[in-house]
Amino acid sequence: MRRMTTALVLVLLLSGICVTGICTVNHHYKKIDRLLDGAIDCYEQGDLERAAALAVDIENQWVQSERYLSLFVNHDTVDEVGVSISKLEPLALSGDWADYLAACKNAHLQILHIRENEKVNFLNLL
Amino acid sequence: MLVTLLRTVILYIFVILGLRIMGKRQIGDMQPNELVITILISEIAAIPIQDINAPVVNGIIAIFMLVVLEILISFLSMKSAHARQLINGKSAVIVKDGQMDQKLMKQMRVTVADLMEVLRIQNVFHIDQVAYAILETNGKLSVLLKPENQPATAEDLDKHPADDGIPALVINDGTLLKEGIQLAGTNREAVDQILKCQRLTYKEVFLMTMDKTGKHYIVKKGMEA
Repeated sequence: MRRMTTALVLVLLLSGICVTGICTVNHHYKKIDRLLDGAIDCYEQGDLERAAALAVDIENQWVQSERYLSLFVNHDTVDEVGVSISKLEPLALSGDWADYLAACKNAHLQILHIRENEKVNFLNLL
Repeated sequence: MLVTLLRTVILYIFVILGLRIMGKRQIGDMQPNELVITILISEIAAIPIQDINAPVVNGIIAIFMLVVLEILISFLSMKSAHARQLINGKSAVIVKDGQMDQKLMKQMRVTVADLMEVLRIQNVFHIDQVAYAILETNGKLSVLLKPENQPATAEDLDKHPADDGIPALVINDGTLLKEGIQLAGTNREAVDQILKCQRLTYKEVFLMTMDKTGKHYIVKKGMEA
């Protein structure tokens, strides 16, 4: 019976870790996603100065989020997002706005992919 | 490099912890599902050790989930005979009264050579001496010899030997073992007395065993038994 209690405690602990993982990924997804959406909107509205400033904000936010995401997500997947985000500022400074938009959308998809992979659904289970 | 080293230490601790929670079993006594889970745990632990891109948490979750499943399966096996049979299978009588059940042996994929080998290991060289040979769920073969082939016991000879108890280890490499003294049904003073008679101190004793009757055996340090 003591072993069953241990098993129950373990299940609770593991569930806690899993839920923390999902919440962490969701939380950081929302932060980065909001900034990326803002950058895309600014570009589409022609506010290029604001779009360039957002590129710096996105990068700073990513540096913080990356640490927490690496606890739960494969580091290679996290690094891929980092590569896309690190391109934003140089592209904005060089005025290469088409590539800037492409990098924003790429990073958006990559982080969406991370969040979707953490979701518990039939396709992910398969 | 240092990260790999530390990850190895962390995962080693978790693997040992997981195996301790699962409980003691010798490899040869494991049921097939227990063996598979033990191998799986070691395989899973190796992934985050080798690949520093994989989060350690993922490995830990998988290890402990397997431990939990193993505990649940053991619990189910203990509580329900049906579950036990479903999970572990059931033992099979492959030799009955010296006659091999060839159909069952084929089903169990046991060859005559395998059977004879296991019987020889158990000091049985003639199959007609076997009353029952049972293939257990953990793959081991239990053999019961026919009454006329069984070695004589004290009871058969109408003897009543005294129970000397188990020779317990009371001193191990110079250290007095309290559990050993309890198991031998003696006390520290008795051990001291024996050592005093032999002009020995604890530190000079490599091994000392003792049983309930006080019969003891001592190996001094730096001396062959």
